[in-house]
Amino acid sequence: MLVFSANIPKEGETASEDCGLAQETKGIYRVAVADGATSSFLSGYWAELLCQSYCASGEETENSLPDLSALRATWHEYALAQPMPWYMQEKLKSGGAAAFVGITLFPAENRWQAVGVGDCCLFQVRDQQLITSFPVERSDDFGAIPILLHTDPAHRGEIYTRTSEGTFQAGDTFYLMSDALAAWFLREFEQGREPWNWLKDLKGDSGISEFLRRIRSLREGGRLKNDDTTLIHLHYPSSSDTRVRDSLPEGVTEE
Amino acid sequence: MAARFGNRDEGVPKSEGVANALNNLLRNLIITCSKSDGVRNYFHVGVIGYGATVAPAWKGRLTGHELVPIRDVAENYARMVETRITEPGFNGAPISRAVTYPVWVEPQAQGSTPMCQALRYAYDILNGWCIRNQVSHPPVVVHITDGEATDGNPAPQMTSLTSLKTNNGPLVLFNVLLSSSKDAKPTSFPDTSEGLADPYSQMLYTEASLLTPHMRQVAWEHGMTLTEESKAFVMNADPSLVVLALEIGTRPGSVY
Repeated sequence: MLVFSANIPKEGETASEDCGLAQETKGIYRVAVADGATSSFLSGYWAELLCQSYCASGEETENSLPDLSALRATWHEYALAQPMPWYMQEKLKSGGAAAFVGITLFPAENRWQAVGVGDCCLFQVRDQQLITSFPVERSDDFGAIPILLHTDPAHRGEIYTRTSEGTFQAGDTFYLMSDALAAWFLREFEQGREPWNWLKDLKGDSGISEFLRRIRSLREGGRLKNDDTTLIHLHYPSSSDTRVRDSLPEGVTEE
Repeated sequence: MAARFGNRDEGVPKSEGVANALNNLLRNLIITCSKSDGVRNYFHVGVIGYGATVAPAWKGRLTGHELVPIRDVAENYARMVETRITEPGFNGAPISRAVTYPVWVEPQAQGSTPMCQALRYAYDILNGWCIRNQVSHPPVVVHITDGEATDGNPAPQMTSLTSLKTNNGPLVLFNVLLSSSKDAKPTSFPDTSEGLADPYSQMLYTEASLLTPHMRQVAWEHGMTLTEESKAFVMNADPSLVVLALEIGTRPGSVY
């Protein structure tokens, strides 16, 4: 598996509240993206806990979210240990929140399974065709009030957990991304374009710089919402795998 | 929205109700602007009191300041208040607990109502701010009053205020009228002046801005269904409704 990962903060911010993580354990790949809600408290840390716990599940085969009660206890212990002025103490009461999507790939069986809450998305592309879009399937479905996993169990975002599963083969590419990029991706697809063409050839540190340049270009053109943006893509190479850089999509300018 | 302090308090003077609503609004605004690394300066905030005098209403270290970055507001409250609130406990039975919260403004003494002078003062401050901050979101003015102006007809001053704008749109004026009648039905964000019996409330309704699409969305999140003609006008509001009106007008992020 070839993996590329990049996390770009919202323009004007120095740190992102997203998390993207990929981990391989005994041939099983686990990849997760979580998007912390910027209006909530320590949401970036909550996103990290969700991704770390999911990716550390090792050989566990149940298709489910991480143990939220344990993660909530960890989050609260960390939050209470932070020195904070009066407004942070009030903010602490509101807790942290994040959208989440995770995928587990079993290469020995050519099988994948995915779990998600909210509007972080997973896409599967094969032979220049989008064959999976999970859990959001249309760009119109990206709502202003997303469902989130919350550090406060009273919010119960987990009752909206979605699961999916499928198969994959050599040559397939999976893309996990936070909502802003996912919305752009689906809009491009719905308008007859192939947005994966300018994501699939990103690799290494130069790929991260190139990703940042492209994201900024889209934001400046009003085609991408200014928000923390995370992308992970995994490619399962075929024996005749080649990478061809296609023309840039609409709205992205050459340097 | 953070917890409101106190229920609808019977017998609480309106001046105290206004101060409570303002302090609660400031508190909620600061909490909304705060991230894990501190308070983001999404706003400059000004509070003008008018009664015996027309002047910035800040107390403590902010005394005399016209517009203050919200981070400075967060760190320079006038005093901390400790009180007890009663709320449902884990098993539903009411429990009483101590809470502390910051205060920035105090109730103004009753007297004359130089509303026109206050509105002109607000215009002078915000005209300069708009010239210097054309790329920013436009100002939101929340005007809370419990009586009629004693220094003339305030409508022209309100019209002047709503003529101010930045590149992102015109100033939004909320008019909040506190009734002298406890029996009067609260009215929030109406799209018609029908039911407003007296000319003064009709004038405040007319001069108030239309709610922006974003404000209507926020109101919808709080269970209110509004129309495109809904105005930024609240009448006979108890303090909790005033806080909602103020929060709808001043939530960070997109105004439009």
